[in-house]
Amino acid sequence: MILSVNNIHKSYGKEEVLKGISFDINNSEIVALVGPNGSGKSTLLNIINNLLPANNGKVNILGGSNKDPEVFRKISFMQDNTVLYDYLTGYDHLQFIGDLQRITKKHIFETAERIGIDGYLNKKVGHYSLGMKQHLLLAMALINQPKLLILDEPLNGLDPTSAIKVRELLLELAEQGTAILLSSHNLAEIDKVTSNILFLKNGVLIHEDLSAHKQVWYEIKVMDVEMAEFILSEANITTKFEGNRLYICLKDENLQNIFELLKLHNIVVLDIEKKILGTEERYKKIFFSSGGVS
Amino acid sequence: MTTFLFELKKIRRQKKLLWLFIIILFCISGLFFQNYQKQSTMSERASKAIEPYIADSNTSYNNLKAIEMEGSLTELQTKQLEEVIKVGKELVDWKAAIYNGKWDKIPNIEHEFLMYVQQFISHGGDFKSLEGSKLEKAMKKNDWLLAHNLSYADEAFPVTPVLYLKDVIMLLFGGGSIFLLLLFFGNIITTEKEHNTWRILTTQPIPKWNIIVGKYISLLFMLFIFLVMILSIGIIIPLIFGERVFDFQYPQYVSTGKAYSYISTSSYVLRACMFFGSACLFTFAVVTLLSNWLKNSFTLILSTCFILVVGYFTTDDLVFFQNTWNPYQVFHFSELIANIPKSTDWLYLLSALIWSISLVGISIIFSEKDTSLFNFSGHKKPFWNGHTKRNVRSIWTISVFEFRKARRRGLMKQVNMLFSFLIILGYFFLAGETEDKEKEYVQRVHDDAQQVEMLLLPTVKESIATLEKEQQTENTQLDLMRNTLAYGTKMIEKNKDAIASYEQGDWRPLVDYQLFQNRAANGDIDTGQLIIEYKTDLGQFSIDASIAEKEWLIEHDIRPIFSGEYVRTIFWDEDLKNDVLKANQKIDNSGLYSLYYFFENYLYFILILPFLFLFGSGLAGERGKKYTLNFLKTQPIKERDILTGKTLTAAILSMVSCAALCLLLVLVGTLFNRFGDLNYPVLYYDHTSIVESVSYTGHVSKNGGFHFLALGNYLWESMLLVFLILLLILVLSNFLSIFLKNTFTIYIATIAIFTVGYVVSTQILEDYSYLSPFTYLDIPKVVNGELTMVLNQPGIQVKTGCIVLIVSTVIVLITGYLSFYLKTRTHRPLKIGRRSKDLSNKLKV
Repeated sequence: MILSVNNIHKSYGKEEVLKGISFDINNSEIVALVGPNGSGKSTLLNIINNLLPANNGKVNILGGSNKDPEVFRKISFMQDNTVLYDYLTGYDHLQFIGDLQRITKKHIFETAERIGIDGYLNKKVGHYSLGMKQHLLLAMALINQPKLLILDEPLNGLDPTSAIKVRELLLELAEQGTAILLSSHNLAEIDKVTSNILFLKNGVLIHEDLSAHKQVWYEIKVMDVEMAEFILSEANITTKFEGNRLYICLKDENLQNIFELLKLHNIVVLDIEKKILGTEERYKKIFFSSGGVS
Repeated sequence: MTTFLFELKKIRRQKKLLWLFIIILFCISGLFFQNYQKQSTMSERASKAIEPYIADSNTSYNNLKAIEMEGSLTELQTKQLEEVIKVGKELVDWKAAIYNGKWDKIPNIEHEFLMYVQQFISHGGDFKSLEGSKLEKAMKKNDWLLAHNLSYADEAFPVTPVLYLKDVIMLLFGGGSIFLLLLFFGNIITTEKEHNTWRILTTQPIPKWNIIVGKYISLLFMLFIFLVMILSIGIIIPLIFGERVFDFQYPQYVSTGKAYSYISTSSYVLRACMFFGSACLFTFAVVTLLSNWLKNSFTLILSTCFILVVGYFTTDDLVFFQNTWNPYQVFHFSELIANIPKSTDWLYLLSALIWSISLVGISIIFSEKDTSLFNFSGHKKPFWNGHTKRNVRSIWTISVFEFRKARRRGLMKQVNMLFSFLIILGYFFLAGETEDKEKEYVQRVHDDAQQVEMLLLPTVKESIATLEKEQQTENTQLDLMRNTLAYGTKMIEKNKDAIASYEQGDWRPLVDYQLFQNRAANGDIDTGQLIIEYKTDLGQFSIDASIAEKEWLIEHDIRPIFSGEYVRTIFWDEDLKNDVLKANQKIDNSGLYSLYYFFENYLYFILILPFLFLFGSGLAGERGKKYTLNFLKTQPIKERDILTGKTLTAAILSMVSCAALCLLLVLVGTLFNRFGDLNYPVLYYDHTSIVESVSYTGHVSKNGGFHFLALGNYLWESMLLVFLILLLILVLSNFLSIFLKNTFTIYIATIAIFTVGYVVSTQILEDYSYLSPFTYLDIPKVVNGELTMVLNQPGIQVKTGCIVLIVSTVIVLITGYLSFYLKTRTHRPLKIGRRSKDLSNKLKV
């Protein structure tokens, strides 16, 4: 077990933000923390990283307490860019971590190159764009090759190319054994990284493994929608008819087989679009069920 | 208007006005407390004030009575006797009124007294304490009091609202208050730039000039609030705790040259507000203008102070600049207030307004362009060629990181550059003063000789000749004349030798001449009829010290420093102090003496303050809008080590900078003049308990004992105390950052702790003053032993100071460590909850 969060309670005055949060994360696991603004995601991450004291509960990291600063030799927390010094260069940040974590200059450059920030390392952070800052923060988090990586909104301000790269990097790290806990608002991106999601609602954690529910749907555009639905239903293919749109859910069937089936019945497919449904649906169910975002 | 209201809202939210109110309240109530305490001795002061009158009256009465007894009283003397008896009677009434506390009766008694004194003088009587313009001034003041039906008031320590307000104004209307206002509100534009909120303002549908004018007007509004606070607190406190007498018409003495007048206290206060307000108007305009080019609040405040100081001293030094239209002229408000009001006084306000409008106008023009004074490149080479240090302790790592931060921020560089410039500029100001003093002194010595040679000696010779012709060889008058001639001749001989040798670069005969004069003042040499100037005013202690100083100079072959022959001591007659001080104020621009001047005039505080602002924020500096503390806290390092590392770097950098700037001063002095004498004597006051000891080797004089400290030792000890004080200030402010989140609050709290500590140590807990670290803030008075004398506390020594300061620093450090320990051990949910909420709000994007 890499991270074990046990019965965390946190109150601000009379308002209880976290009500007995418990969860565990193992090696190679990627867990996403999802919730609306003000739901306590950042508070929970800060408690895990000992930046905030909890009113009650325990956090164990790699079998030890999170109160010992030495734990940060094994874990990393990628925070928002307010933790960066504008007047220092990117390299100054990495060099400081290097000094503390006993990391060589060579390794710093390798990490920087891997993240793609080597081109502007000697520039003051005040001159960085939002995306550049995110890259630097990621490099700072990865430089000590952590066993547990905690990321707060890692994809904020990243362009699509960078977002894909980061996503691939996270998957690669998880494959290598790193446990990852990330918080994000971007459900589509989360879907592409993990199915293991912690929904935080009214201070309570709703843990869901959506891998079983995750479904790939295709919206198909055909001339005769009713006929197409009838044919596909007859062939035991899950379909959904919403508005004037026809959706099909693929399990074992090949998309090519469906095209051929429709072609056999003289139905021409005009267009097709992939839709991965699951997390968003769950999110809607959890947070909109009581009449809006809590 | 919208911008202005928005600014007010921000200032209110930052609680700056509350802090300002607390500071003003503290200063005003502190002063009132002191005045209130002195009320018990008001009668003594009032009695002491009429003592010279009683002495004169008694002398005249006794003399006249003696003549009357001899039966040789002339008609005029009879009239004098009649008047002096009336004078005496009035003085008895006056004294009775004082002891009965009938203060309202005193003006009438004084009126009668002055009338009789006037008549006494008109009959040829001699009344020294009211001779010349003194009587005229006293009568004018008394007429004013009677015309406005005012009673006698304690002007030294007033507790009536209006007179006390005048005291408050004298205390608070000065450079310190301008600095305070700068500190509180000067960063009104730069903070926006630092926090990137300037962009929010400039992207609103309002022109840029509107924002700048709005900011400037809000600064003026803060000035208005500041003045209202001072005036209202200054009146309310004595109204509640003092006497409820509204003596708005109480006369205040003002003079220009030899002319003098009296004005009402209300006019005095209003004029003070006008001059102070004008100075602030200009200061705020300078701040607004500089905010265009400077993006950092610290640099802005430092640069503004620099510009004001340079302007002030340039105006002070060059007569050409001393006119109404020079905005720096109004910064001499204490002198302006003391002058007789002129119909053109409002021009100062007009001048400040014109300058302010012009400067704000220029800022509006420049605000349209993206300009920056310190536009440094964004690219920086990595430190240590990018290598990491992997086998060092984390405290060292954080210290190195702090050092790198200081380098990257560049503020340290700017501070050092500005101070270096200020030191060089100040040095040349000092060099000019030294040259003037030297010329003035040599001329005075020359004039003295000429006066004796041309005027006195011929008369003396003539008298001797007459007396000898009368063959009165045994006559005491003849002996007196002969002694005068002998002294005069010797003096001229020594004087001429001194001047001639000095012009050739040999100062020894000059020191010899000074010693000759000191000995004459001491009565070792018979001066005959000649009276040594200041002899009685200087006091025996000063004369003894002056002789010992010259002997030291001769013994160690040290060049004298000008001007004057006498050593300045704390026993000088208060009334004549300024005259004597001016004639004997020693200034020299040699390297070492420049540094001595730096310590002696408390200029070290100018060095300490920027270092407090630069390095004193501790953890609070990491908790601003940029919450960089969380970056540090998510590294394998303890929070206490972060603070220790920060404090360590702060102490090292401040001390190194401080030492470098002091060395620069010595270097500049050495380059442009000479290094100076390490053995130059500096007077050290020995406490009675030390003087009375058997092993005492110093000089014993009338008021106590003294010895001399070599200048090198004085400087070394001063330097040591500066370092330790700087260390304590930085440790304390960094320690405060554990509990206080706001950097500004930390600075104010640190300054307040040290100010209150100093006042309490030296004025309330005098018996324990040697154990208080705050006592040692007054470095020159500690190093020269003055505080041991003044506070009657032999424990106040440099060694004790060092121990007390080190122990205090260690105590603060240990308390800091304990706080961290307790913080991690105990959790108080409610309290932590509140703190955490603020923290969490900051963390949320």
